[in-house]
Amino acid sequence: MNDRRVTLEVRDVIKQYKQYDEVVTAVNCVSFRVYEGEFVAIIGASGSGKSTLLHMCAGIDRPNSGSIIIRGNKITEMNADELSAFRGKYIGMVYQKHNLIEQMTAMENILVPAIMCDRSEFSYTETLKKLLKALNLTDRVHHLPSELSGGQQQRVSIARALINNPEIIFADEPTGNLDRANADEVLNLLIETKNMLGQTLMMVTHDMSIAERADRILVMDNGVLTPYKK
Amino acid sequence: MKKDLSQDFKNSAKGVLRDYRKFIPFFLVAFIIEALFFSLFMIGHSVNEFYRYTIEEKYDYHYIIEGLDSESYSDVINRTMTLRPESKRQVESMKHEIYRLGDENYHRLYVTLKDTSKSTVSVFLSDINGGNNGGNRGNNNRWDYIEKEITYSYSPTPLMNLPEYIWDNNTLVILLWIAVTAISIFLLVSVYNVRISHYRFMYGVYMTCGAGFRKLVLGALFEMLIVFAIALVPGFIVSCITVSTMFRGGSMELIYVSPALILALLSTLLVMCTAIIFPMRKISNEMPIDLITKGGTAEYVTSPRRSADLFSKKFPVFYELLSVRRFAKYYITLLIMCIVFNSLFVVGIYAGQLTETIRDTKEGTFTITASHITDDMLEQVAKVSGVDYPMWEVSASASSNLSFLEMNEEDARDAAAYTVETRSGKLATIDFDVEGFNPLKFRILTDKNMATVTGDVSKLFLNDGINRTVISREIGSLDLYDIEVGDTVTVCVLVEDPEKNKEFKFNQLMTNKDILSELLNAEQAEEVVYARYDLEVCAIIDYAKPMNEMVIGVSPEMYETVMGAGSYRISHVDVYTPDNSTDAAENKAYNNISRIVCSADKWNVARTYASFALSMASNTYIMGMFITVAVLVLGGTPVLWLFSQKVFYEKRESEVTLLYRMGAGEKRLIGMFFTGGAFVAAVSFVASIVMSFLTSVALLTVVAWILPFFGFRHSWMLTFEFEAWTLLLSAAVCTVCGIIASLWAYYRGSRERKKTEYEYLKEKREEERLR
Repeated sequence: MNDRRVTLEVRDVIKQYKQYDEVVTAVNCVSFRVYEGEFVAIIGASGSGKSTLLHMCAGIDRPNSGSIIIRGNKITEMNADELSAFRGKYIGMVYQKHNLIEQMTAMENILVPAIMCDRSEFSYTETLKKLLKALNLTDRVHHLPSELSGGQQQRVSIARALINNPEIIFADEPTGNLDRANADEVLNLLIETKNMLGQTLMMVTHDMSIAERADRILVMDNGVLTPYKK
Repeated sequence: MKKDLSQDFKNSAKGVLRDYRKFIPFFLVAFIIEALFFSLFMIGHSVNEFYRYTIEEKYDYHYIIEGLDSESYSDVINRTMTLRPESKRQVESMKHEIYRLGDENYHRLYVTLKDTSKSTVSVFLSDINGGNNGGNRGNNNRWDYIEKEITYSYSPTPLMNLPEYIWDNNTLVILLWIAVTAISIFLLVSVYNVRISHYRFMYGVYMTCGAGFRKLVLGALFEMLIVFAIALVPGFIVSCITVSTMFRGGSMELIYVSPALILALLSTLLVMCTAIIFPMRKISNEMPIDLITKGGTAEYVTSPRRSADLFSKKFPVFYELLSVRRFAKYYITLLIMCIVFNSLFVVGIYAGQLTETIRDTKEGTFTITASHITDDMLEQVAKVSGVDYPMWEVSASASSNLSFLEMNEEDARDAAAYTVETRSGKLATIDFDVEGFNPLKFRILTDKNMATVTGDVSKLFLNDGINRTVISREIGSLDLYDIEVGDTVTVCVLVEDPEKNKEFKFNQLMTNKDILSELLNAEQAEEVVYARYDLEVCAIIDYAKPMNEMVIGVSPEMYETVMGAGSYRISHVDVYTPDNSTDAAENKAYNNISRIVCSADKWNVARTYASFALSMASNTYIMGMFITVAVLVLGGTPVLWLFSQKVFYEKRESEVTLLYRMGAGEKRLIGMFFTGGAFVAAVSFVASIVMSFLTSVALLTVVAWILPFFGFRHSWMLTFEFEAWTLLLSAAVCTVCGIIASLWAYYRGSRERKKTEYEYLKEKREEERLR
């Protein structure tokens, strides 16, 4: 594992919130690395800070101190526009609540990141075809989110995260709102596409059965991250 | 139940006062509505009082009887006073004046009646007529006078017709009240619908917990009562300031009267209660689950069933225009609301201009009626000191006796809509009026700039055996005929022969062209005979006012040839006096006119008091009422637009955040908001112009059609106008609203997005400072 390239490096990251007169430390001096192609799962109880950590790694939140480096780029030192552009090109984000755009069809939702980052080095058409087939969305592609089931919406959300062929995918409890069957399906899809495209996957979950399918499990407890011990 | 109501009221009050920011649009709307009603009723009442004290100051008598010789004078005094016991007299008092006409003395009586009830007036008029109570002459003069076989005349004064003035003003106020009430209800319903759309989830939960229509209405009603109560004082103050400013510089004063204020409050209450019912009924009929689950912007989107090709497109322009298309339901509703208010503003200003034109139309100061008023009489009347000019008309439509006009084809090239080809290759038309002229009329038309004449009109009256005509070539404002001086046209007159002539039956669906075709066919089949008279065109007349038909002006003799023997008869003349005419000058003019026409059969000279009415009307700043209402109505556009867009963009915040996270930087997000806002502003502006144009044309058509029923004979003066400043203001409002709403939404969201950035930088700086 140490021979592989480091995709994500987190160094001494701290995140605190001020709640009235109390300071809450959501992430307490966390450091870890994720290697290229790895599937890392972070588990922990509700309120342990795992989602906050994930958001900071994905560049959608900022730590109070510490640094986060993705592919050699220190995202903690980027300004807002640079970070936005970086996210569009290299990061795919799957949310627990799919967060699809209501006025766009499934296909349009998937393609929105494509029009943000005009990456001419690969064909969106091919990627789209592959994703639609892999995610079994071909028949529902022209429907609005309100016309899709929960599982279908989540698959659209996954396809959207993958359309730009990101280096690293962050998934925040992607199966949290799904039943068992759909949850397994979604997880399988994430892992398959990750393997197929050689991506790195970092997932937050509270479901141990899902975490066990990861290459590595980290445990978040009161803002402190430790390796999982069976 | 009392306790429930009281509790509901308290809850509503708390809600409004605690979350006052959410009710800001309602405060603004309440302010607009209350200002509208206060202004309307204060102006209406002030105008009534102005009429009252202006008339009562000038006139303390109801009737003026003039032209009484000694015998008539005694008769009138006997019938109205001497022979009547005091308890049965209609007359309160009489002032008497003697004046001279030629070599004789005449009497003038100024009569004040005990009251102006119908019965009193009827008995009085019967008395002065010697018991002869004829009917209305039926002309367009608003002042009633009665056909008489007597040598004196009498006219009611403005004091007698004060109720009509007040009634006219009240009618205008009522019409405006109806319009303002409808607009206010529409405004409040629109704003409430926006609120409901934002709080669907909350209403869904209320309804799940048992709230029905009654509870929802009561809650909304109590909220609005509090909102309107808070906006009451500012609305009232602003109305007072606006109306006082409007009256400054004129003769009117703002008069505060509690009935006007009570009416305004009641109207506001009516609007409030009515406006709440519609949205609450609508939402109470929906299923709670639909209200709860269909949040966000999903309710505005209809499935497109296909996807747009985003591959080749750029963000943000295509993206946002696509979104506007997808949110068509929402944007159409928003645009309709705003276009309505913009159009009402433009139309309101135009309505004010029309009202002023109608009100300021100059009527004759006197009207002369008789069986036959001779040309000689007219010449004398025109020379009377204090008279500006007399005006009359002797004309008839050609179609009334199935006459038609023939002309060469090249003279009617642009008049295809009115002409039919005859068998001789000429063009014929039945769309013209025949008018009998005398030299005086031409002189008056040209001297008073009512028409311009090219050619020599004097030839019309030459007795050299040649028939001539003076032609007006226009229909409406369009010059349709190419007839020039020296051309010849032929007027074809149906020869009356009841035995030989075919009986024509024309149905109402037939156009004039159809009728003419049938006449020509009948002539060709020798079923009818037409006599033809060639008329040499000796002059062309261009009227200042648009004419409904082409006019063929002929001499009196020719007129009788075409329209029948005895048809040239002047029986009604309007006499105009200069604008600055004094009462004494008018009295003198009246006396002289009476002297001139008193030899005619069934003569009467009546006063219209038109100049007094005009001077009074010019002091009532009616246009100000319309401007006030129109500008307040225009205020509805920004309130609705900004509120609706605020709520709409709030629902799109998660979408925007998502786009930001997917790589859209702040610059592109500004572009996205700006694209949407500018596009909608542009559409709104164009649609507002079109809608304003259509409603203004519709208003003009309706008004021009209705007014003749109320005796208004000058509809031609009502022209279509589009004031540039109203369009510019309307455009400015659309543009500002569209762009402000979108950019405001952007900056609000941007502040939230940047909050994390700011906090990070703040803490980093603090850290460095500590190190």
